[in-house]
Amino acid sequence: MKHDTRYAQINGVGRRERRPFGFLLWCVAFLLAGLASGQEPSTTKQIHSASGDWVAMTVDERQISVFELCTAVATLPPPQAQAFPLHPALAAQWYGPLIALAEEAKREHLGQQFLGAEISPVDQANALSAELIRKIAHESEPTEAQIEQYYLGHRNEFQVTKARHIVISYATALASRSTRTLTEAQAKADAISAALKRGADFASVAARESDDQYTKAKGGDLGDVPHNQMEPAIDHSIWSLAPGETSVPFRGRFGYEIVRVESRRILPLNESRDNIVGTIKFLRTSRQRQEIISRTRIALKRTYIESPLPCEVKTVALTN
Amino acid sequence: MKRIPRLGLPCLFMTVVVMLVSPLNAQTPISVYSAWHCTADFCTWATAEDPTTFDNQNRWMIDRNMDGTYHPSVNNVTFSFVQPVKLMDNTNDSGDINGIPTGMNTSAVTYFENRGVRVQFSIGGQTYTSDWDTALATNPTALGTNAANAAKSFNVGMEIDYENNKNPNLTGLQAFVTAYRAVLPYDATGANQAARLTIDLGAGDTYLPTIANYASTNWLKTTNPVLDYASAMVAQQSLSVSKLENYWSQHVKGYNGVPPVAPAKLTGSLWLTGKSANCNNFSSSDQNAAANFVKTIAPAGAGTTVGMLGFTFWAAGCQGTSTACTFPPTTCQNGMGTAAATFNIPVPMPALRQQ
Repeated sequence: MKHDTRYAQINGVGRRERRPFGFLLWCVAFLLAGLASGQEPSTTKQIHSASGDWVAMTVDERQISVFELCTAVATLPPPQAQAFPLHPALAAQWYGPLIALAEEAKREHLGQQFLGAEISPVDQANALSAELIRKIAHESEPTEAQIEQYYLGHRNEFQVTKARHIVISYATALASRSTRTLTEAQAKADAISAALKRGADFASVAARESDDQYTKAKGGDLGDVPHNQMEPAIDHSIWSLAPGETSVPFRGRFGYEIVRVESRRILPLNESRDNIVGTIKFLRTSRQRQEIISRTRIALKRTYIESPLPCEVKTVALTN
Repeated sequence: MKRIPRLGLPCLFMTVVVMLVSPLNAQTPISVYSAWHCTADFCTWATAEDPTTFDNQNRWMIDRNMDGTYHPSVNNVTFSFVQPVKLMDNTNDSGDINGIPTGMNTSAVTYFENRGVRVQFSIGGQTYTSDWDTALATNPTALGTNAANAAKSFNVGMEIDYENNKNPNLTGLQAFVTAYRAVLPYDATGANQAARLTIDLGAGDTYLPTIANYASTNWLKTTNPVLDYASAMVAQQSLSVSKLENYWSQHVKGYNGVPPVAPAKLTGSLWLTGKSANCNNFSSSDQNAAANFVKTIAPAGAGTTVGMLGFTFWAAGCQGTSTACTFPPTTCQNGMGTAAATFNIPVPMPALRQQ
């Protein structure tokens, strides 16, 4: 495709990653066009789509009219619906990839039922995009060998720690129903910590003293905790302690915390399988989705890099 | 036998008449009085505000009299939006920690919860539709599990805002909900804040009908409920209150094969911008006009009690231009705050009606 220098690409280098000389030529054209654009009155540069409407952007061969872009933007939540016309590059960065995926779906003859339907372009783009993503995800299903290979290469990701905790809340802690001051909470946590050091049973103390309503009845049992699944302070404590160790009191989101690590293990493959399948499918789908977007030339008309889209004030949003 | 006094019969008659008539005019108090919150950065919450600025921007929400007595203007705030793929992937980048935007931090949550205001995080929104599609097509279970664990970690509820209007991935969405509920079972008492899981539907029958059909059929029943309630989202800003009421009725009556939803499983949404009457002038506001309808709408095929749960407002925070923010100087205590006082909004939010 010959690139119209009245447009500026907004999705990175795209397919030019694989065509470095083409990219260099495009850069030169971009710079020359940039110099030229400052000399032309913008009104003379408006071009029209087949329907006579001004073209705002292109996605490869497809011309997106100002009307279509404005209508699509109007379906967005108010911050975007109001801001995107003022900053058309943001609008193009959202709508361009969506159209790129929809066009790919059309090329693959997916979602035919949505093509003739009387639905808005943005609904159609979302519907087609979803068809494409589902197809890619379906085709990304890993084999048993690939699942096992991933498991062996990422065993640490499937490490879990069985832990318990005791929370001593204070009035200003997150979700607190306590009237304790910070000092009172700290004193109580210190006293509990001392009792635990003297041999008190952690689960019994948790059941009696903890302010965590989720775990109190279970003796503070947090279950098998993977990495990065708890609030940062507890997560750090859980993964710093060895099995059998109990932390000193520390401040977390919900109050003073005391954590005890009971055991640590790597989940066997059968318990990790679903997660691995999901992870592999996601990685492959994301990569392919990004490849489609990257090899599509998404370009915004240069006029709209510097000036707002002439969207009507009236909105047709049906969404928040 | 005791004789009924001379005036007794008319009194008895009137009492019976009142008893017979009153169910028709019964008003159920509003339980949910909520606002989505976009903060100041296009609903991304990518930046953490400093506490002083955050307090200045949002004081009206927790202190409607602006006098330090801390009577909140709302009893629920929904931070919008979490990007589904990032949550599924527990992404850590410049704007997110474990998939949660940096601005949705403990400080922001505590700010509201310490005043008895519940907090939810909204997953999705229109701009993230394709990301919902990706997450649901690849690893919905991880998304559901991570959402539930984030909810527990922040002590917040979650909201599903999946806006694929014509072609939603319902299989994936069911897997998401199943995974969430595996970690946090439905809690009718509402005591476990993290167990609160709600969904956004269209204002009426013209938007998200496929999701509405599935949710109404499978998740919003009064027997074996899975989700706490649905919010009928805002429609065009210029819609009349009567049109909105008509939209909300469609959910309650059912439409085009979509089964009815109990009024006790529904909130209606209204616009909130910094200069709207909902924000600054309760007496002339849409919420004042719609309140009677919301409190009295009768079940029409699902549920037994009258009245929707309440209102959800789109949206606190900045709408992209300085004139429309709900931040000073256009804060909303005289619209929302007055409404909260007039409606006697309970803080904290009580257990919700289940029928």
